[in-house]
Amino acid sequence: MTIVFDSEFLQKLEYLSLLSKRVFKGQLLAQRRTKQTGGGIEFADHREYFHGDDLRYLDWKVYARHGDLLLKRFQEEEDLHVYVLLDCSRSMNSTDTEPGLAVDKFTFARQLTAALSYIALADLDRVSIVAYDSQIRATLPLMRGKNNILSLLKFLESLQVGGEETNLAGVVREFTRRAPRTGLALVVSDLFDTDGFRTGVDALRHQRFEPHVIQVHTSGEAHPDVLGDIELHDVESDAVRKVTITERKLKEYEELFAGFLNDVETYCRNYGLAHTRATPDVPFDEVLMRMMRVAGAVT
Amino acid sequence: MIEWASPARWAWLGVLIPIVMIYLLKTRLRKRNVPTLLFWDQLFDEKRQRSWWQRFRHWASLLLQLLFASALVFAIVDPLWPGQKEDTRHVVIVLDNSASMATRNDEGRTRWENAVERATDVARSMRDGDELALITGGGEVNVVVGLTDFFPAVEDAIGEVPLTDLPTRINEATQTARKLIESQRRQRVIVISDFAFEQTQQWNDDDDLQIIRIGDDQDNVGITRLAVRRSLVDPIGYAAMIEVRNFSDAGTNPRLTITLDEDLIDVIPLTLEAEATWTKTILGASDVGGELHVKLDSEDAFDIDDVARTKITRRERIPVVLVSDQPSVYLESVFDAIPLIDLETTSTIPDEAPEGGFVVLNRFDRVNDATIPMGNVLVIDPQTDSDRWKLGEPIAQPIVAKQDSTSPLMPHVQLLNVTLPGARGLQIENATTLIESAGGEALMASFIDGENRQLVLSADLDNGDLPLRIAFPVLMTNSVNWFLDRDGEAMTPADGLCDAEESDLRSRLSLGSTTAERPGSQRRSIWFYVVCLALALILCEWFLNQRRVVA
Repeated sequence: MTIVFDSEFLQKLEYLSLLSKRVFKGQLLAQRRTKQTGGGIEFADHREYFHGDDLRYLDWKVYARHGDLLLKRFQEEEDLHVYVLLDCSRSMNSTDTEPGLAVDKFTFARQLTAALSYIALADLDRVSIVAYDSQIRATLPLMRGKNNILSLLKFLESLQVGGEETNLAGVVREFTRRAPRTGLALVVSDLFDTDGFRTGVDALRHQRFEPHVIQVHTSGEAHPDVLGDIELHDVESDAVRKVTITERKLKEYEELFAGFLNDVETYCRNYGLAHTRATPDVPFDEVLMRMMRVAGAVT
Repeated sequence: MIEWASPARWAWLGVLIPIVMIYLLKTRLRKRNVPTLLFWDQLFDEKRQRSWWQRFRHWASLLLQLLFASALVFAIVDPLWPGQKEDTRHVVIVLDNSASMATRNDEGRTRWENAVERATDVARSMRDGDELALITGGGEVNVVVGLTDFFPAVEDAIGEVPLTDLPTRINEATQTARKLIESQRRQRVIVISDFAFEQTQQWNDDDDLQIIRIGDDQDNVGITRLAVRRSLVDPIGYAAMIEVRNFSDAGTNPRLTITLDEDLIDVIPLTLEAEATWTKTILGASDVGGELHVKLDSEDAFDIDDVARTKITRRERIPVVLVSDQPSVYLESVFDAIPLIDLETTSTIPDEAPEGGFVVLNRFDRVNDATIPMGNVLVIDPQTDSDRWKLGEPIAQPIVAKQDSTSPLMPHVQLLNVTLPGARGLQIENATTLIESAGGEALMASFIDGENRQLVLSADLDNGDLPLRIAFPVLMTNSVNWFLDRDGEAMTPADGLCDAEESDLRSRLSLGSTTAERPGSQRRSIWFYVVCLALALILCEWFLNQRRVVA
């Protein structure tokens, strides 16, 4: 099994976690958290007051003493459920389609998944990972606490790409049926779904999950470098196309792909969904930091 | 029926095999894995109606490439038009590179430059299969390039032919050209000249002769003759004959400048009427000689005949040994007066005459004197016989009654009726009697024995009046020239054109029939059109396939 997460990766995870908590004040996942209604009685922690929070949970003593507006966090309230839907279809395997990449697409997706999961775990949120292709292939049950990071990483390392064509809609149906409660749903995928990604994401919304779309693609998928008479082989469907690719066709392809990316972004914006687009040539930690900056700017 | 110039080159059709093989290899598509066909399907679905062209495009490309290669092979085999093989011509260019071709026209262009251009045009107009040769006729006839079917070689040769300053030999060159191709079918001689010469044949512009005349008639004045020789009388004298002619219908006034080794001799203003000839012999004297340079200052289009030069030979000193027991005033005086003589007086007879000189024996006496020296010897008033002559009795009336005026010793010498006291008759075998007495006795005789020359004069100079006469120094001067064999000296020809025919720049072309210049057929060979077709085929193939226009 290829080692995906080494010691250097773990160090980066810790750094990102601290960055998220101390610099960005947990903004990455914070807005979701404020909407949680909780009735727990066990005091767990303080967190900063945001406009709209229930004032009943304000810690008046701290306010009186220090003048800081802090909310008491109880066990139930801070149990944000973070579900990561990780696309493990064959289209995520860029070693076949672009063997020269330093980090292949699937590994990159797993790195992002691991980093987001670690930040959530560090924030005492519960995390579950659902690996899917045409159906749910593997599930890491909800877990909490940073001490579970190793088993999470182990789970991610064990995942393999495979299956038939991606079917996000079907997977979401199954997922929402199984999930114990709603929460944040991070969809980490290339969104190359013949039925379209909208159906699946809509289903998440309708089931009161908060979708966050993290779209992953390679530079070669956006700007292919093929010319001439080619036999194209779809790695998911095994379909074959014999085509003659000219410079003009390449240009049209790039316009189509750019339009696709734009569609995803527009859809997310229209529905107020968080959206991130990343390519493996950018290190995952930079992607996370960019996500944090965006989250901090929005909030 | 099409014939092939190089049928062996059909073997090049083998190039079609690798074309087919490359095609077969190339049409195997490259495979490429993609994560999804979502976008490619959108691109190519809308062009589905052109799929029939997709299927046949590669076949069309292969066909075009095979046709292109076949066309090239067809061109390489060099197909000939029907009858082209029998239609080949054998052409000889006769090019005039004589001096008159240096004449410039009003635009400053010489006839030679125009002739080269015309000759090059002829070479370029030759068709495949024809043969071409080049002959020049300036100064001498020269076959520059023999019959060849490689015309660029003839073009190069035309460019390298030099213009000469020699007279025309076009008549001879044309005859040579006819001989070169006399056994060939379809022969043609093309003469390119200014025709400023007298033709020895009637020029007919007919089937086998084409005339290309270069240049217009032009007026000219030039030096047509220059020759010099040393004087027969004066040892250091010379005579230079100069002839200048005016080849025009109008008078002209040029100036003639004569120099000898940069020393000005004379400047002669000339007045020449139309077609006039001016001739003059210039007399001068110079012991060292040198280059006689004659320059004509005239403004015309032909400069070569305005300058001529020639050499005047140097005169060396002449050693003369006067052998006499007693001083001979007359002999010493006369030889001192003759230029270039180095006189040595002695009483001893040398064994041989000095080189380039002679010995004078005055009153030769065999009893007391030695033998006659080898070489040139002048014997005056011999006293005894020798192995060459015998002396008769003293003549009572030694009056010169007869003299040989034809001898080179006798020009300007008049000795008739001159009394020669002490004269005795000479009997010499194989000698030329120069003067005789009334009784028929030889008083002076000369004879030549190989390189030895001897002159015997039976006369007592001290008692007669011969030394007082003008004839005596003239006779001595003549004897000097005779001993040195100078009367046989020929005129020294000049360097320079000095040719009246060449200086006349007007055409003397006489045609039996005049026709316009006939251009050759310009039909191209088949291979040219085939190559054009091949080019069109490959452009078509590129346009249809290599530009990737097809979706």
